[in-house]
Amino acid sequence: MTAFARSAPFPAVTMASVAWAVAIAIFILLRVGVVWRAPVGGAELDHLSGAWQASNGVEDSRYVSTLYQAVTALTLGWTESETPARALALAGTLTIPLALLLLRRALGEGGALLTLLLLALDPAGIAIGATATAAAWDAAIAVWLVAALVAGRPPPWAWLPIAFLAATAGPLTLPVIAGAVVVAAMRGQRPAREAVLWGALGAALGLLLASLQFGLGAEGLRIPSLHLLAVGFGEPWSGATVAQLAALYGLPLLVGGAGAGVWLIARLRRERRAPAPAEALALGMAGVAAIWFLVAMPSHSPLPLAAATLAFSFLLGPALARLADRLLDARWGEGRWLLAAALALAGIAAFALSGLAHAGGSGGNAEQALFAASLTLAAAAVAALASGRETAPLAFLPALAAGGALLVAGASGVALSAGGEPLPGPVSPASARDIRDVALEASASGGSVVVHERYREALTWPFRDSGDVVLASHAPPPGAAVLIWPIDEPAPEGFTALEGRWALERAIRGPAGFLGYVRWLTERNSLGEELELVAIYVRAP
Amino acid sequence: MSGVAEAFAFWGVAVVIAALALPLAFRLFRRFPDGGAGLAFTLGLTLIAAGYFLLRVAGTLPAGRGGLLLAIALFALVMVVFAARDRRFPATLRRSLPGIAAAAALFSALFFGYAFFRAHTPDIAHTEQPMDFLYLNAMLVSPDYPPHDPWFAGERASYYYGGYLQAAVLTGASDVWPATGYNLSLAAVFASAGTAAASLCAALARWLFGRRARRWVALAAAGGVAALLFAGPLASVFELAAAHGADHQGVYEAFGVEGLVRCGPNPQGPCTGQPLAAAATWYPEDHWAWWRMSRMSYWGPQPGYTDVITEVPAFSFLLGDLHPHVMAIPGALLALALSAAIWRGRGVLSWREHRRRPWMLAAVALVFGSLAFVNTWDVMPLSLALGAAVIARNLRAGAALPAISGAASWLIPPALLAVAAWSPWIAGLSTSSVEGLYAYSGAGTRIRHAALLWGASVAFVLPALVWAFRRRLRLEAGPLAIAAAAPVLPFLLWLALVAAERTAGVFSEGGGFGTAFGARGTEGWLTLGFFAVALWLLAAATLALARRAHPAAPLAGIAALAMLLLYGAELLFIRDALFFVPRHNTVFKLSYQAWLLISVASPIALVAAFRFAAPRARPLLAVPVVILLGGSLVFAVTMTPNRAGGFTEPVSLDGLHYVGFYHPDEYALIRWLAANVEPEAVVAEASGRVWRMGDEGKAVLEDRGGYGSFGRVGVRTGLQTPIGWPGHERTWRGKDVSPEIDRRRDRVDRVYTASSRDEALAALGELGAAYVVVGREERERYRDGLIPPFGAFLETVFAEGDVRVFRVPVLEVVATR
Repeated sequence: MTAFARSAPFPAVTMASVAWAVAIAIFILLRVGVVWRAPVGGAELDHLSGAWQASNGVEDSRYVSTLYQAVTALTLGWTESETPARALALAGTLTIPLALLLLRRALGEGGALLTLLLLALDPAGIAIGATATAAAWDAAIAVWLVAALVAGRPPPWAWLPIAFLAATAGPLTLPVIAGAVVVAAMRGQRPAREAVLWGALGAALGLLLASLQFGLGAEGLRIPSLHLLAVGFGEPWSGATVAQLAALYGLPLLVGGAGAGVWLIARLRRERRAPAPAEALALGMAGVAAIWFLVAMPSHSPLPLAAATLAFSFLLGPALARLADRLLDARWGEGRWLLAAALALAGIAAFALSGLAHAGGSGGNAEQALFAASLTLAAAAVAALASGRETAPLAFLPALAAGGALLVAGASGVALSAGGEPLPGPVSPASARDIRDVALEASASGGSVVVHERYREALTWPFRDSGDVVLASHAPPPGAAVLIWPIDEPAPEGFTALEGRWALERAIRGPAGFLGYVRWLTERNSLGEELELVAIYVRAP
Repeated sequence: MSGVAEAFAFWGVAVVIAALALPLAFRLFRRFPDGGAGLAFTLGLTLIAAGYFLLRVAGTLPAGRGGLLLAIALFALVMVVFAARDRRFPATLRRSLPGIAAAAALFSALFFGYAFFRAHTPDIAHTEQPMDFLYLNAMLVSPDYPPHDPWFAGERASYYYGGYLQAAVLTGASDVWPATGYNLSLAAVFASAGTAAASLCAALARWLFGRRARRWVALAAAGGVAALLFAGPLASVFELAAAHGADHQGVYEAFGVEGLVRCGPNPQGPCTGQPLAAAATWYPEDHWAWWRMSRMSYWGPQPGYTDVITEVPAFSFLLGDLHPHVMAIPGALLALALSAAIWRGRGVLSWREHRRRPWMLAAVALVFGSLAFVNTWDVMPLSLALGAAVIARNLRAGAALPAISGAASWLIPPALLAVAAWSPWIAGLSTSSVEGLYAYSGAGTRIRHAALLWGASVAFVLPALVWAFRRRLRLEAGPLAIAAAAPVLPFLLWLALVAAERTAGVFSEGGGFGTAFGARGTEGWLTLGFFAVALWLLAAATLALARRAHPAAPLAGIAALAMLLLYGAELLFIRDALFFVPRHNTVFKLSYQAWLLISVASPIALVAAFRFAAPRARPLLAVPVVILLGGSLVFAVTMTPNRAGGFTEPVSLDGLHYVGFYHPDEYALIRWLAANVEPEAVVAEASGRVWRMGDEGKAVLEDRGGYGSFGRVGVRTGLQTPIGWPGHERTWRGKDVSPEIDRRRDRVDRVYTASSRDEALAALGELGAAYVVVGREERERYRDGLIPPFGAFLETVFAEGDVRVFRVPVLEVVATR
């Protein structure tokens, strides 16, 4: 170290620290806005409703008693807003970069950094980690579990809080736990006795509190992660299916992660070595998450996708870091023209495809020919790059560019304009709260607010803190001042409808077909919406 | 999903479960040639269903497909850890690969073959199939566990429903429509039973013949599959002959099957047989011809009414009732295989062994506990087999007393664990329908009928065993004397019960020695004597072989156990709710188990006889074998096309296909209820009684009903209804429940015959019913416009054709704070 360096007033700034700072900043910025801007929808709508009911002391199957949901119920005890709960979700999620900093040795500096970047840009992670779903803290707990398992040896007592958090977490932690169990069994590892005892104590405490629903009442042996995973197969926690969500938001991480996993296994076989602890755990958790994701593809929940993208990031991040090293060593001079040609041709193909998509697939032959020719030539250029030993790494760049673009588009869509995205969905729009305000106002002079029984669950969140509401299936019950009624039911006698378009729920339809998907990528607000419209009737004067 | 896609999904789940169970199968059945792969289908399903049940009872798993998938996933995790910690797993896997491939191929062939057959006769429509479907749906729909009884709203199921739970695991996890899942569950039982039989027979044969005798082993395995799934009573030969006009009355009388003589539509002169015409096809054509083989009373005149069921698996699979005794076949074979594997293992077993291998303790507890859960009748005989296996193993290492005490200390912990694990189910069982053990004082089974039912298999097993092991089976006084206890002790028990006048026969109850001895006819005594001698000889052979640790010992032991069951059923019976036909259930259940056991023993004994016979003696041996074998296969070969309508009917796997065809509105009703009604809700449907409008304008009871097409909402959806088949509820819950049954029926009838809105609402309130169904059943049972205008005071939530569903209006105040 020079005398100048010793006497410098600021610490030396390395490229790595700048990169970490940028990645952390992206991680934070993409989530902060969600806390205030995103509409309540999908799993969050369900879980906030459950937490609201729990805060009222009402048994409701939507309250699954993860630690986070219990905390949410606590916050809803003194505020009706979702924002404090979301802020707490964000606070937990923002510890993820810290955990990844601890994982630098295990994943490599570049690997940890790129894993953080992938997690930062993961649309499903953004949607869940910054909103008040019961699984809001899951990603953070999962990453800290990874850190605890591979980044060092926490003191035995530390397993008490770790196990407590895992026992009271949602299902995103399960791939890590299952992966760790499998890896430990395969490697013949036995944890230290003291750590097991502390861990068992923490888990027992967590399960006890979860089973008591954190004070709401005993519900048998409740393991929130298992419960949420299981009910996720049947609950409408997303308007789109897992498969559709994956196609819209998860392709880069899923395809890249799967490729990275295959690459890792091939490398391990070629090098005839056992996987490092981090590699083994990443493979284990990715395997478990992939099975969950595949089995859950027809169901309507963002959680399987979030679990898969989280786990796959731990494969893809280190793989990208390794690829980056190869790129640095590659002969750019030899491949630069081919690479430029490939990127240019891919760009032309994308442009032509976009034109076709905007024309609704009815573009001219010339456009179709242009797309086919440019795509074929781009593929040929990539193949030529891949055929050269020294230029092969460059062949990944077009795919990386495409994946990166998709990831950024998805992340920015969910983070910055979630109201227009299929994730989350269906949402409780602002008009839902307006319905409640109008109804309360209309009933202020006497009489009750009556909501059709069909909306029993949908009314919980928008009608929170509205006093007593009557649920009825027959109109009009005695004493009714206002009716919130399905529009397909006949108008009740003695009531007049309030003018307006009153939507209790709103869902953004996913794009139809491949060209619709392409169009959506280039024109984000091109999707149609579905509204659950209701009529508001007030007693005629 | 289409039927084919559903079949593949269902098969896929079954195969995945089997693959997941391989690590444990390898540990339990290491000495089996296939590493237990053929038993893995049953092992996996048994353990997953047990785990699912316990986790549901604990409240850990929710209802729905997710809970089922999670149970499979947790099992997978345990198995992966199990495999990872088994150092011999890779080697066992490599060694067992041919066996695994063979098991998978056999399972697939049997599964799809049976599904093809069933697709030609898919209806869930007759016998006790509605009840079976009811329980399958209850397992799938019940919001909490132990599952509710859809025919007795508010109460838990009181029956051995473990098999339905296993069927529900496959149906729910594969997301198959339950009515299709019913038929595919039958296919899975058929396939896993065949695969388990092949695995067990292959193992027993391998131990007998050695590693090099692969063809003999394969032959024994194939024989096991054929004997279990396709063999039937020899009486079928007479039925086939009669269908083609060869039914000489004298010959038929000589064999005691004059009841099978065809008398034509207008019989001339005395004819004891069936008023049916001869067949125009190669197989008997008349409706339900295969039914006659399940009851000896159809074969020929019986001394009194002795309509005991003498069903065999081939009949069960033709009939298609998804009944406990059918679903228990794979589990019983698994338990038998586990007993054989334990016998084959090394080292003395005592409680200390459980500390070393706790997984074995859990496996034994869950496998044998599941036996009771699936078909309680199976647990006692197969526990006897397990106990004998453990004692025999311990005897190889030491004296009798320590061997027995060690065995007891080894057996007690899994027994206690099993009782503890299934205590939530046991607590829900009604014991008032079982009145204990009685001495049978009827005529007994005619020897000719016994020969026609058991002849083929018994003819194989006894002589073949004697022939194959003639050098080992020196008549030693010790084993012969000890073995004599096997027939003598049950007979002494019979005498004691007779002395206590705890006897019953055909239309008779009580009576002393005179009645008991006199009632049994000559043929009955001959049958009893034959079974006694066979039991004695086989028990002696078992002892003699076991003393030498000879690999034929389990074979003889299995055959001896079968004879004990047949012998026991001729002497004693358990008096239960089906007492209107004495020993009805006892003969049915015990002879079914005996068939299962002999299906394992007889093909191996037969192959052994060939294997150890001099080459020039084999053709001589082949003649009777081919005749008997051919005769025993006549039933399955000729009755399969009969049952499948010549394979000319339209193909569907949906068990409610016929409902959709004949009554599309009723089918739509079921779909609607399944999709829209919350599982906790109570749905009112017809009580089963028939009412008409009386002269005074009041409802008059016309028919009390008891068993029929009513109760279909509970059956087809698993939703709770106030009351279903009353006779069955009495069977399950005991006769003390009769007043409650009547009370419920009265209330349901009040709903459908109410003369005012208030009366109907009051009755609905007493039933706790939120929905009322008015469909075909209701219109047929509440006639002359008795049904009130529900639409005027209830909400009409479903309307299709003539079918309506009404809902009690909701009106409640919810506090939003």
